[in-house]
Amino acid sequence: MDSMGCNLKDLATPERVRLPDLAGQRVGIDAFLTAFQFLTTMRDRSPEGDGMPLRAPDGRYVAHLMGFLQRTVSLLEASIIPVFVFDGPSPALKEAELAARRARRVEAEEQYAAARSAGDHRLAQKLAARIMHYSPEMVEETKTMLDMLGVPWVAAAAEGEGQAAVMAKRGHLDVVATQDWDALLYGSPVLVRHLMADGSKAYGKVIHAERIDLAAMREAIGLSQDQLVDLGIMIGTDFHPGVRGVGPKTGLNLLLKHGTLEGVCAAKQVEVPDNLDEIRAIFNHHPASDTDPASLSLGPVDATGLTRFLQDERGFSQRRMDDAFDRLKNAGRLGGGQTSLFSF
Amino acid sequence: MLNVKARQELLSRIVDTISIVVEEARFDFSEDGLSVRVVDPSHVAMVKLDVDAVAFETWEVEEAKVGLEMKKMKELISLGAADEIISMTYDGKGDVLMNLGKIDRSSRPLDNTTLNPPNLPNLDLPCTVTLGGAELSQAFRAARQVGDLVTLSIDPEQFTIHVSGPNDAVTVAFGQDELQAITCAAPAKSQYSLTYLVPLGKIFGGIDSVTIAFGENFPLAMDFNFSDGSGSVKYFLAPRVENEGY
Repeated sequence: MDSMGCNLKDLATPERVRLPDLAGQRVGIDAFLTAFQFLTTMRDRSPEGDGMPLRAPDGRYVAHLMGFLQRTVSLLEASIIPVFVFDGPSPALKEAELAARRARRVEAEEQYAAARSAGDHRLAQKLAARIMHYSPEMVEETKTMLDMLGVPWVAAAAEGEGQAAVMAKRGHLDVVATQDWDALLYGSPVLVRHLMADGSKAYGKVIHAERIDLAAMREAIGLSQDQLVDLGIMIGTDFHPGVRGVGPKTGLNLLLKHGTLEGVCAAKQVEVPDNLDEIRAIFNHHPASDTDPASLSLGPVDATGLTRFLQDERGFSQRRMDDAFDRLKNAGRLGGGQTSLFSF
Repeated sequence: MLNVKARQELLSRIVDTISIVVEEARFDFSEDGLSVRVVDPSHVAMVKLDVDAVAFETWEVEEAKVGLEMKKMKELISLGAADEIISMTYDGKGDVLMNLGKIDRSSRPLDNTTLNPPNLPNLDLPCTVTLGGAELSQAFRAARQVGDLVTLSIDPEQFTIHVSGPNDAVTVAFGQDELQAITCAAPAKSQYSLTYLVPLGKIFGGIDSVTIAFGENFPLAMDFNFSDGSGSVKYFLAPRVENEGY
């Protein structure tokens, strides 16, 4: 996950951040990235399981709802106001990247089918992670559940990261929480990575949530926002593979020396990337739907609706429901009692 | 980088105000004055305190953010009389030094990074009432004799403080002409914990004008000034609500 989006890791000096530090803040969260995390981790990995996301008794997928329920409740317990941002249509320039992803998925689907028919469940389960699809139906179900939880969500005009960054620039979000470094190219003043993974372990190392301040980062490396975008384009983004042989550090030195991407290309005697102005515009002027800050606040929890939607219709266990409701009460979102200042 | 002197009573007021909400706080010193924002761990009460540099006897400050323990400050403050001078110096590293007469006390400052000031809630409060601090403080103390939760209600003519206990009830009503000001767009009623309000009453008890703003099942915001207007306190308190679904 560390190389998510354009890899700016080596140029940033993140500060540690903990969940309680964000109490009372509006945190923009990319719903699609979050969903993929749930769909690839909450899967049927029983001995003969098909490795696909967990399902209700009637066969409907529920992994995404289980994941979003748990995640949302944890954020509310920390007095955070989550704002989930759902991707809209991708910019046309992402087509090549999307086509490559589709091709990889088709290939994985064929291998998956073969492994299934050969009875190789372990291989099939491994491949299943690569054929996950957060379907339009799942997206709608997620939005319905968020409405019942009284949690705001936004439909992005285009890329979720871009929408969230524009909202942060408008002052409608305090923080954008995502693994995707592109949020900085889109101009999000503050990026928080690994927010929910704080303290967990991956590959034997403890992960800490970290906060990256865009202005401080730019000052430290000596680039303007336009130059940072040029650097990102050189390293490679979803909209262009980048300039061959240029990584973050080389790219930074080249830009410091030559000023712009055109300058670097002239000095290196390589072609300027196609559609450069269009790519720059994707980052600098990302289309974003209008948002009303007043609507980006927490609303009442519809406990009856949640019970019907999750337990009656999708077979969520009593224990799972009780746990969610207990935690919503602790968070002051349900059942009266002392509220929190950050609930208003 | 920090050399501040203040009368004991000023420092005492500052520390007592912050102590209502937290034990540890980050004091932000700037050229213009002192600013502190704190929220209690359960996010029920918040204080924003600002004191202009002119309220201090000496104010030689380059910007500094210092994490302080209220208990330790109170210990030193408690040794002085109201008009004695207490000084505080800090060079940006090492200990914070406080002095009162012959007494020097040094304390290691707290780790700043864990004491982030909260964002203030963005509230649109429809009703506002202004009255004397002594009257309000007395009303809260009367209410506390009967229960833990107080109901504040307001309409354009009257502001009422009411508590019902198992066998007793206390009502303190202020008519329009007994108040310094009242504005009320729509009648509202809201319940708050006296555990938070009574200690605050000790702070504003001697203040001429205290303004309370609130709404139906909505947070309360209280404003008052001290030291001839050079110090100001804004206090927020989340309500207790009875109904399902919030």
